[in-house]
Amino acid sequence: MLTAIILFLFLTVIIYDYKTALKQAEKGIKRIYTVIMLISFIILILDSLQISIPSPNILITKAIDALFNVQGRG
Amino acid sequence: MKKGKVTFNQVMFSIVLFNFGSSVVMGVSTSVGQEAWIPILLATLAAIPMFLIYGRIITMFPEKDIFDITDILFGKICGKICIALFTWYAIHLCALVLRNFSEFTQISAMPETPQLPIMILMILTTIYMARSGVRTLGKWSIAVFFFVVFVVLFTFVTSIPQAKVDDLLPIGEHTGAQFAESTFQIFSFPYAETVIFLGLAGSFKKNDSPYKLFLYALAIILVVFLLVFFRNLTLLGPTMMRANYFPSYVTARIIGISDFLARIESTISSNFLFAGIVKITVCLLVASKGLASLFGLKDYRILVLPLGMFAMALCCILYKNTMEMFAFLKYYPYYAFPFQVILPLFIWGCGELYLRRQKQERNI
Repeated sequence: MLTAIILFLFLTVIIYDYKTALKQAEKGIKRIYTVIMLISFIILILDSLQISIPSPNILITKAIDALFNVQGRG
Repeated sequence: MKKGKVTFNQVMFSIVLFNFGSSVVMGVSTSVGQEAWIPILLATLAAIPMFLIYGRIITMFPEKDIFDITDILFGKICGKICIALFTWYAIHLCALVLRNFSEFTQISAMPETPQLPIMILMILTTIYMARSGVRTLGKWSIAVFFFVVFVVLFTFVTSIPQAKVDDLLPIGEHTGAQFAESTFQIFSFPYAETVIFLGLAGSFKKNDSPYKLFLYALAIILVVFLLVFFRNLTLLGPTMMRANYFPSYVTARIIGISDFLARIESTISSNFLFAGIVKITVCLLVASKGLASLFGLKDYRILVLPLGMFAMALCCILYKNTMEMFAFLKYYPYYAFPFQVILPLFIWGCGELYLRRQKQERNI
């Protein structure tokens, strides 16, 4: 169900955006737009299929723990 | 009025609502229980110099946002690194707030509903608002500010008959280290998050004093935070306040006037919704401006939608559960410190040197 919602959402917003704003946009913008949308789509689809993706917060907490030992302080 | 410029009140109310964003519902740090009013005051004092520095940066480079300023000060490579860092912080903060909102909605109102549809509704609303521009955001802030403050005042006044003033005592139960940690937490979440507004400084009017803007906003925020804290504490008590994830919501459930007015917790949810929209929109706007500046693009508005989708994707993978979300609050001050304090201090210092050199060159 969630996968279907994501597919529907991306299809709708891309079609809407293409008809309104994206048509006249510069090439550079179109490229960045496509890359970000693709990354977001892949992450959301994988997440909806319950395929685990590492969270950036894990990296952040590990780095902070290594520097300040926040967890150890309780 | 110049095109795209926002008025003093619009910016001030946006800053206030941005700070209310998550804090009005999640409550400001409760790690020192009944004495949390002390760290709230200390964090406000600590925020004053920081807000003055943000104001000074805006005054030094009027009608320029942080992305233009870093470009001027640090040149292409270092400037782009600063822009990339700030853009990341904005988009990450956007995802964090979005997750707070979806977790809160799921826990308080829709336990059986997955979080994704809630996130989609919220992000589409904020994308629309961000695409409409900073002035629309300003108008929205003015429209909802009075409602949000009214709800806080109303819940405070109606809680008075049930309030237990004894819960304010004892004082002096916690150590200096605990106070320091709590102060640091409140300083970074939410006060110093206001640094995000440096990304919108290009839309501020030249004649409006940014110092007044930030300090007036800080005063309003302090009053509301104290009201929220005293209301939650005197109704729930320190233990229950610490045990609850969303103390304001639980407090509102208890409040009742006789038999005719009860279950007013939905007003707290609407507060979170209204202020949350402001916070997410500001983050989205700044992230889009940052990305456009990073790639040298003229129009940022078209990037709002992909960045909104990216924030939503990031939001989905940030935490596995609510406990993880609250556990991250312990790490957040350390993570946010470089963006909220070090980067602005560096920009301020370099800005002062740059202006002095410019003055000397003009004199020669």
